[in-house]
Amino acid sequence: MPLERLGGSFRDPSGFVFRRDGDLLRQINEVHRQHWDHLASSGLYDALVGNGLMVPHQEVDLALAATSDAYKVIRPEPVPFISYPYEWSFGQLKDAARATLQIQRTAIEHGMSLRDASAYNIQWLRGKPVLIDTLSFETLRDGEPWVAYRQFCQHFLAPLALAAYRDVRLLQLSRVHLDGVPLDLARELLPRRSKLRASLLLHIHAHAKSQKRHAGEDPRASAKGRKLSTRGLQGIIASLDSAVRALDWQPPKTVWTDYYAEADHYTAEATDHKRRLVSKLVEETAPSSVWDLGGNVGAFARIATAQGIPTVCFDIDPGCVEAAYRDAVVRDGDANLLPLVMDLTNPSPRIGWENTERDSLADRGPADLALALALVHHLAIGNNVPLERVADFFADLTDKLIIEFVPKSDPKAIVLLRARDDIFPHYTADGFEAAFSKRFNIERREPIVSSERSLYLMRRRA
Amino acid sequence: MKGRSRGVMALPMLLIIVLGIEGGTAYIDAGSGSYILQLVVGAFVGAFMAVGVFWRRIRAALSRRFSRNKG
Repeated sequence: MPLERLGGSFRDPSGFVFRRDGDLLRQINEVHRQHWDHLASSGLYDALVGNGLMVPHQEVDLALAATSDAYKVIRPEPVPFISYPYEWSFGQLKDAARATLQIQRTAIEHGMSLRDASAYNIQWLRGKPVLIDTLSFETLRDGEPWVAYRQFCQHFLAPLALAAYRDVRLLQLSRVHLDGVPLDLARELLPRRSKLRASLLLHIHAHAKSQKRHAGEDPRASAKGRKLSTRGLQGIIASLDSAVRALDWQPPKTVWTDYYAEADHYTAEATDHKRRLVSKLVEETAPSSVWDLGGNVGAFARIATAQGIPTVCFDIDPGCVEAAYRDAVVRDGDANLLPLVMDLTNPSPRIGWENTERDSLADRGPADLALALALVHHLAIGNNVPLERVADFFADLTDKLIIEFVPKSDPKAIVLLRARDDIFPHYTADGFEAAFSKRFNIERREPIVSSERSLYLMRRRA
Repeated sequence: MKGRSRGVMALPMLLIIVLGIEGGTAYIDAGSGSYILQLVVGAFVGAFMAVGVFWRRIRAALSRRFSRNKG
């Protein structure tokens, strides 16, 4: 039976995640027996799963274990798409942070505590942030501080504070610092006025200073017998929650978020026709998953989600992703949509230990169907990517493709060419079809009425 | 607002305690400072929570008493 341990699951001696014949399983090692049993007997598992805060699982035959020190093997409910904190919008990271604190509060009520507070342990299931690491709990240690406090501040509080006080693009720091933003760095980057907020003064500024001052000490010896009461522990969680709750970021009215509102590149008739075409083609292809590449605020992705298809909507603009998350997922309860920040000219790479801890975008595919609407001119003209290379990239990501070709005569393409020489002689409908035919079979071409644009349905060549 | 003013008054004292603890600097142990900070912060926060619970009980008792008198 082919067995594959997942690249990101090796640090915790209590167990790990692996695939057996493609089936995703988690092994709980003998060393974690007491804590694992407590998770069920204390009622914590039922409480968290019942409140949609933790991914449910089924216990399976121990014979499926990967190693001999297994105590249990479980099959967790699969998450449709694994995403990472550096791909989340501000609101998503904030909701993930508050879910983590809610989980910790519930755990304390059941005599347990989170052993880690990694943002990577949170994933999106049915539009909500859920804990996927069922091994994260240990029996509450009487009088001991929260072991995951530092990690929570680095993974959640520091990036959120930097985004709220400085610039939302600083959320990308998590891509460089896999164990969260170091607090001394956050302290350096935050403005002085952040110290006026008591929770940030404590949990970031004083925390960073305390880390420096007490580096290398034995914390228990330094504590000189002092203990932390359960009420004190709960107070720290409440204080962290109030710190996170108070942080806010509003997406600016960027060119992209105004894209649909302005509609200067499309008549109402063309927009309506394009919607109907996309809807018809998605319905005809009946995909199991959709990736909307350059999906803006998710207007077309929602055509797929309305058909019950799990859809990831990628956009480079954190404002668009935030708007999609707030409007579609939170306000309208679209449980099939996952909006993510992604620069397609520099997509998420493999990172971490041996470059296998976190998957690249392509590793997480291919999608059954990708939408690339009003995108190709940005890649080919805006970023000088030859059409053949665009086709190669899309062929790595998807089996089927609905793609819109925007000719040079289109108002949006004219804007891109306004301040530069036209060095794109092959950027024509014929050149586009020739380039994509090398990697895809072009099954349909549908002109969009009242425009010079066309929609294509393509299928990747074997 | 009352909770906030209590926090503001206590904060300087709290920081003096946290940052005033002397320690060695052999090499980085990111967990030590976090551990010690929590002990100090937790003691204060826990005390505030206890005062809060106590205060809510007094207020509830007083409002019961006054509403009884009105009735």
